[in-house]
Amino acid sequence: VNTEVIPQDAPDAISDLPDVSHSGISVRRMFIMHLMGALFPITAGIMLYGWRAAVLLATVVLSAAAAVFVWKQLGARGEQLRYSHTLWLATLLALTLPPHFVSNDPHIASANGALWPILPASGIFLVIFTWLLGGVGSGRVHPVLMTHLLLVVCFQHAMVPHYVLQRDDLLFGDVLDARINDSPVSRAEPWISASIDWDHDAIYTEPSAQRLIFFTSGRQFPDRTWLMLGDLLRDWVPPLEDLLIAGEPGPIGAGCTLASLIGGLFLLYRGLIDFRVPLLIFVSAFMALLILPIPIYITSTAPTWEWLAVRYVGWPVAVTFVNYEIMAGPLMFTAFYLATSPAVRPMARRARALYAVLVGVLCAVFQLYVTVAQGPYVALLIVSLLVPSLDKWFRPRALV
Amino acid sequence: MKDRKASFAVDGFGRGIADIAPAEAGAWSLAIAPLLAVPLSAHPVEQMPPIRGEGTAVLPGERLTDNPAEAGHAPLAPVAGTIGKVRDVWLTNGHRVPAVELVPNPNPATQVAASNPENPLPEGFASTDRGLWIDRLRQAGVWADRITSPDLIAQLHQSLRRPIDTVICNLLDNDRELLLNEVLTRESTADLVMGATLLARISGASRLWAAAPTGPTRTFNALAAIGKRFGVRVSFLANEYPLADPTILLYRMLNRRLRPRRLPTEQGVLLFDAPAAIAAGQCARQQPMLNVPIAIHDHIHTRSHFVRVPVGTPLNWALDQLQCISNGDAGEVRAGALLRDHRINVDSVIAGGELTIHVFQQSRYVIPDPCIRCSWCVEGCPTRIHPAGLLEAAQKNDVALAERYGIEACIECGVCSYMCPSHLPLLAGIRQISAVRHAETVKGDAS
Repeated sequence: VNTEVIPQDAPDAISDLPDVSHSGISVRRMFIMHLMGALFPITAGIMLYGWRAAVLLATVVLSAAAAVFVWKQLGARGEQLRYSHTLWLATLLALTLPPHFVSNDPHIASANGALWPILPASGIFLVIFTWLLGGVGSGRVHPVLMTHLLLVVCFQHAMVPHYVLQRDDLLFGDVLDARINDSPVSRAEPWISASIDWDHDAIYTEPSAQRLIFFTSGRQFPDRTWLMLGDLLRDWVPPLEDLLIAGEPGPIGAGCTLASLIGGLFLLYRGLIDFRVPLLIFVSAFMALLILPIPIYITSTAPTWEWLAVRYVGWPVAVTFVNYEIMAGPLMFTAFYLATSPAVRPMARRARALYAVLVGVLCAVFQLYVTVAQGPYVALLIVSLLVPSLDKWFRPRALV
Repeated sequence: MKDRKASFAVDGFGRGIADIAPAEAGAWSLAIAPLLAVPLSAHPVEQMPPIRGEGTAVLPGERLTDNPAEAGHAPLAPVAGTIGKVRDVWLTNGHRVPAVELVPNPNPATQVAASNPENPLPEGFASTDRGLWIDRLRQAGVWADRITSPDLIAQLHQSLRRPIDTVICNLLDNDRELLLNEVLTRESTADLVMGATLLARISGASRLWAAAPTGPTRTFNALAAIGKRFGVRVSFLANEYPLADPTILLYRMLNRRLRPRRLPTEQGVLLFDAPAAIAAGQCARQQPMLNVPIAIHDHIHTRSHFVRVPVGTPLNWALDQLQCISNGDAGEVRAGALLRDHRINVDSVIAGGELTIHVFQQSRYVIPDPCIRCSWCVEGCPTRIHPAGLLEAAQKNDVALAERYGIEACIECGVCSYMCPSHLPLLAGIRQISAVRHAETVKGDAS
């Protein structure tokens, strides 16, 4: 939608009185309110991953702002970029990145060189994608998803997070200061009460997302005769509270599921997002994760897949497994912050319900069989491509 | 309210309702304008009704035409004066109609007669003939044609052909600053109840409801107490804009779906507001509608005015008297609900059109942002249509697309424009495509 009906010769501001014909909530203010909702995961991310997380956030945001400044000079479409919108997108992008990107060490995360140049580059690419995908409005593909998935394609191994601060070094600790093991094992104790390694600020561990995808995709090799689903949850992944509260390595926006939840509830409270989208994503993802075939045990020869695994492993194990799947990846973050984005979700309520169900089911599919860490992003990207059709099929039903 | 009994009793439809104490007349009056323009009809007409000769002196309440119009109200002289020329004028509801100029007589002795008008009403007050009563209202110059009170005379005529089961007196005000219905209900409770009861009886409806806002107001509780004696049921509603719109009100109260800009009688409902009910009540007391109450909110000085002016008073005169005009310029004037953004000419004439006026300085044009698809316009729309889609249709000039997005159901309340964070001109776009659609419909009908 462009704005051609506005008279081009409209006079400038004449009245200093407030505009009583408008609510006063502008695009800028709307995005600022969104940003307030993101303060919860931002704060949790900086607490859990220390100063490197703060530097990461600042680098991405500032580079995006600089790119917007340049891009606004380029043609009529460049003028449509808005600082508020781009800064919101840059914040979201920063929240999807792991904190170890703020490093000059070429050995971190098996990279071939320093990782930090990725950050300003991602800010610039974000602005390019925003520009290419329709500016502040009308883009049906989320620029944050595009930029993030581009980074995954280019730096797949470097995107896997391994570090998290210990609880006595929150906020000020160096997240890369950890004892590195070649084959890190998961802790049996929750992060919040685990014994502390006084020689280091952080711990190095395998993220649950990796453990889960190896198992559900059948790539896990048992160290005994077989590995059952219950054994995986008991021995190979950290306690569930680590995923809910803190202690799990991850992108800075998904380190604390609880913070994402609180931020999302704030957005709901302010009326900025539609409750149907996150609610139906969770419900449909939960159901799909219960129903879809998963390996109930893996032998040295092959995994045994079963639909509706709850019939074989029982409700406690099945529900615990689903909880791990939901909290190990960025599903919560995606449901509250990305899937509710005005640019990608449909406008009609009924269409939104279908959209959310599709996102939830596809999230489950991708998390089980492709990748837990990026599954929700891929699912959202695919469903957002269907949104123009959903908008076409589901028109609002008029009162009369 | 004065404890003054009506000086006459009536039979027929008027039985029993004339003993309610009337309100004090002549409150909140303005000085009479030096030149009035009394509308000859409520709608644009093809054939001009015959006017009494130019230069003829008339008394208050005297007819200005030689013969009564076939439909619509009879134009009456609101004050004593001399008939002038006929010219077209704008009404506050946006209609352009012929009006006859009337130069008020400066002699105060003559104007005193206005309070004792010659009875212009025909015989038959005691009749139960519904058609005769409608004629009686017309001859008394009673008319109303505004958003919250659609064309009263047309509704009454249609009630003769269609069954009406419910009469709703719409006492909901659109704007907090301009509680005209509430003020009139407080000041003229008796006339209001009388008029509403009379109109209910004329329409043959079995139910008479008054739609009043909830809240800590004694006005409507008093109305409920008085109305109970006459079968008026006061229905208290949370007055969220645009509930006063007939389409929304009928849906909320009766779950009936009235298309915008259609008469409520199509859905078996007679709908009118407090000024219309009071005018009908005064007609039952043999007092023609010679003046109208108006409410003006001056946004420049942030103050509201409630005044009565003679029918045909130019708006700019009223604004000037109320000192709403500075340096001869009122800036921008809107009639009706603020958010409807219905801008009118400051030379418009006050009669049976919109009675709430907003005066601004020149509005600030904000360069809009692109649509961000926040869908606040869709979620805020009281008729559940797709305003952003309608703007897109307006830009493409695509009537078919506009119909798919629900243009027919749009009541043009302006909620979408109010909510849009991008400041998109949604209402302007809707009006633009609506006009195109209307023109195509007319062209199709003609061919």
